[in-house]
Amino acid sequence: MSVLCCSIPEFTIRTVRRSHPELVDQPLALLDDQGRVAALSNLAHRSRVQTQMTARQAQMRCPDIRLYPLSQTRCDEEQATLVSLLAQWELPVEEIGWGKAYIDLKPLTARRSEVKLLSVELGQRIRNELGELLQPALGWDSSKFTARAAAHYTQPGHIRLVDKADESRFLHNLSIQLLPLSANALQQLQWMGIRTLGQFAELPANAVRQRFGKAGLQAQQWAKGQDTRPVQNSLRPSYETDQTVQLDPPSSQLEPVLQSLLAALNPLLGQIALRMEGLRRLQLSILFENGELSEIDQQWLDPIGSTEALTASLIQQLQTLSWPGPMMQITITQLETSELPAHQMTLFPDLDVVPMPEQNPVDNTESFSANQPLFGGKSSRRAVSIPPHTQRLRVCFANLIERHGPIFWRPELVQTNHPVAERRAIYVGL
Amino acid sequence: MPNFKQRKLESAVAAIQQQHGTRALQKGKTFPKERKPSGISTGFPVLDQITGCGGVPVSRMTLLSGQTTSGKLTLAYKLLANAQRKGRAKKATQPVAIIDLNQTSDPDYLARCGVCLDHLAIAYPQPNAEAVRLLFDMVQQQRDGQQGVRFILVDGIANISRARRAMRALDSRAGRLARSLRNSDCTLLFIDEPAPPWQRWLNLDRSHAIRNHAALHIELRREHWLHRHNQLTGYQATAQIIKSRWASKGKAASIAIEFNGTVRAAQTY
Repeated sequence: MSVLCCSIPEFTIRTVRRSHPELVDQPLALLDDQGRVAALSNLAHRSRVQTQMTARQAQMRCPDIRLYPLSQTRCDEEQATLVSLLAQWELPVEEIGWGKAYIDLKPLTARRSEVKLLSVELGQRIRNELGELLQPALGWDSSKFTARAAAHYTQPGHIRLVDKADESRFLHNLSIQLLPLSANALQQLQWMGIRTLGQFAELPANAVRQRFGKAGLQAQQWAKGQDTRPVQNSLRPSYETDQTVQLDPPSSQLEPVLQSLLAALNPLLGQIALRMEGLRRLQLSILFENGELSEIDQQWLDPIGSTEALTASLIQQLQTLSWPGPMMQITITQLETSELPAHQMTLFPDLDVVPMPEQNPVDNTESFSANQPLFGGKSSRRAVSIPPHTQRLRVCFANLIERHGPIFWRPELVQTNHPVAERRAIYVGL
Repeated sequence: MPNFKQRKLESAVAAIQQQHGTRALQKGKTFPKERKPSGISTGFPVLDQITGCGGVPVSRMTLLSGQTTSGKLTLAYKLLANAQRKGRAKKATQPVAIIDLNQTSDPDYLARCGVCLDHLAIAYPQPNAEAVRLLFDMVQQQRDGQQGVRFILVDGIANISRARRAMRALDSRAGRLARSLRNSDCTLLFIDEPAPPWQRWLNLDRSHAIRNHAALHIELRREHWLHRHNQLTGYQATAQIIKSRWASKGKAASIAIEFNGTVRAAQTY
């Protein structure tokens, strides 16, 4: 196989920044319909803002944060443009999320030199069409997971090509949070001291299967670079179902309705979880006793993989829905799924964020010609200068950061005379 | 020991050994005296005197307790500032860390207390077992000879005490932590609210494990506010030694902390 992964990090954030250039260097968060943070920029994340916070909570954590409403329509349009650019070679393209897709290059070529030329051409085309802020990071390998990891650890405007022979060496030191495992599984691995894909790959297969089930075993295969999933030429794979949940007797209470709905969804969710995918969209049609029909169309910016997140979303939707009478029947009309992103784990407080390339670059770059000069332009390459004292502290805390994640910060006074105490200092992540 | 007492002791030992065998009573080995470690100055000479080691002992655990506004955080920050300076050097060169479980560290106040922010790292772990693991890792790193921090301030034990598992972990490993510290160049300072004496006697307070293994325990109590020309300029507090391995407990010193843009120590007797 020859898989190219195209990834535009912070896709929704950069879409807004492209229209508002003054926001480029400011912490930014996008709010959904309920007024909760749906997406946030790196700067906002460094100020310890998290998704699902309310606007007020985000402002308390980061007084300088700029809040904008999330425009689903606008993001859909940009996504459609990206997908159309990727599909110009008439190759299988699999969409996996906002600004992310796989392209199967096998029908064209599997040679490194030719892939490099194609990638440069693709990158330039996307940049010319979508702009410099939305230029992608490209990763190539013979399997989907490794290609995605390569794209994740590459800066936008760069390509990382991983040869099949170098797969295990490339994956060895990467963080285990790249795997879309459940929060419990990741926490258990953390307690056992398993931090990297290499360590996870070395565990006995029987023990992994016994502890984490089939999903864990599959994840271990991926950690070894053995991901045999083909690139499916289906944009936003969706399941149309007509599964109906009868509520007998009709109920006007939230709890029994929720229980019945979750009981019907659980088998489907189990099948989705086995494929390491999450829910992107759920459409429900609700029939009330008086004959009225209501629709619920819940979409998630990032696919969810946990029952708790699904339950919380359903509770919110059902509570905001107006109930003209007791509910009689719920029909699940459509389910859309896609791959779980690694950064979804930030929903769970004990787990860490997978570091972005500019914060924590992978060190094992000697073996491959990674980080090629970008596709032509110079201006997108920005030198990041790190103060010497921050560098010294990073060296001092390197092992601790690797074990415990990015929980270390260095305070820096910026406005000592500011009347608001919280604005006198900023925190620089180590 | 006078000769006649020595002779009486020897004859008693001989009688017991004759009756029950030589292994029944043997002379104990002499244990080496614990060497007094060097201390990090608190910034208050009178307080340094009564601790018995010139301040907070290096490579040991210290507990600082006191009510809110008693000055314990100010004292802790002054210690941080002094720990950053090696010996009598004026320039700060040593890295120090704060494990902030309350999430209330104020960089502005830290700078006013003399802490060099360039050599300070603040960690915000979750207040559960992860925080306890982090603490051990930080001390272990220093112990293993790797470049580590010289001083660790743990602020907010109350937050850990709410997580039972974390509290149990801390209680069971406090002894090991104290031993690890002795083999390292790292000093550990805990800040906690004071517990009533009856709780301390019965070991029912939340920081009893730390208190039992700490080499020094200082309790601060604010006495009164200081005014000058009807302006609030600071406050006076009493620092009492609850426990010290090198000084007699119960000693107290009066310290005054003034605010005038920077936080300074003033001496009162």
